Amino acid sequence: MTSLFVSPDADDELEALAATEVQTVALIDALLESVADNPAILEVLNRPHNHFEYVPSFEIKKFSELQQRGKNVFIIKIWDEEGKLLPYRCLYAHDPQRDRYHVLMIAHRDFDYDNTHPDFIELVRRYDELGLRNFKI
Amino acid sequence: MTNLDCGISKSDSRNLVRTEPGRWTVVSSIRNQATLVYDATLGTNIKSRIERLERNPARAAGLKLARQRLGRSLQAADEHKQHSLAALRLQAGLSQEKLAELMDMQQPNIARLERSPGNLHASTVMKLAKALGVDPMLILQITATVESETRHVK
Repeated sequence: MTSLFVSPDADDELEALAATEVQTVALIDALLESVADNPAILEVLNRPHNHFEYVPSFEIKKFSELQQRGKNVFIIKIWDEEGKLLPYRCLYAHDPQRDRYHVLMIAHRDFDYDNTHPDFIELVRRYDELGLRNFKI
Repeated sequence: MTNLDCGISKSDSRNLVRTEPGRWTVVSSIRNQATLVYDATLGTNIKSRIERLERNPARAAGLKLARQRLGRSLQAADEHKQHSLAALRLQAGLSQEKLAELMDMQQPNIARLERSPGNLHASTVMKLAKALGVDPMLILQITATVESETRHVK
């Protein structure tokens, strides 16, 4: 059975964001709730360029830099009702052995997936802290 | 961490077991399934987080609106722009748990219905339509489409 956990740090980040962007956080929570109910929706949202067809919109992408290091991390990008790309990214890992999704971080887009950025280093730390395995490249 | 902090309802808290330090599990009376709801390292199960947010009326209203938006998006994102039971439920602003409560069913049954809605009993169709506020014919249309797609795949 699929389950989805929000790490303590990501929970804190969501609540900090909710102080100013409560509806953005509600949208993230509703999406995560639906993924836990039926992960197949990720396939619908993962279809290339599909996000241009509806609002609010979501795009799921592999985090290439981390995937190349054997870490199974994905990025959710969100567009709001007006079609504007939100400046936050939801970063999650999938543990296929236990069929568990782990929300690791809610990051500002400024971090731009730069592998020297403190958020990148923190993301790797959170992944490793959960004991998630690195797959072989 | 108290029961309320990790989002456990009163009924669930009766079955809450501290399985090891920092780890809390709800053992459901249904088929004796155990659900890990909080772990000091893993964090909070999303279902428990949602339960916690639903206790705040403003956050609950925000979640309802967000589900409605997500439901519309999922329908539009579908290749054939078709309705699905999950999209209809979300457009009504309901969680699986809330829909189960309205239909006097258990949440795992709602999850199963949404995954494979074919061949529903007439009383279930009527209860679903009433809870979702839609025409029963729409429910029948969804189940017929799913059955037809399943036959096509076979």
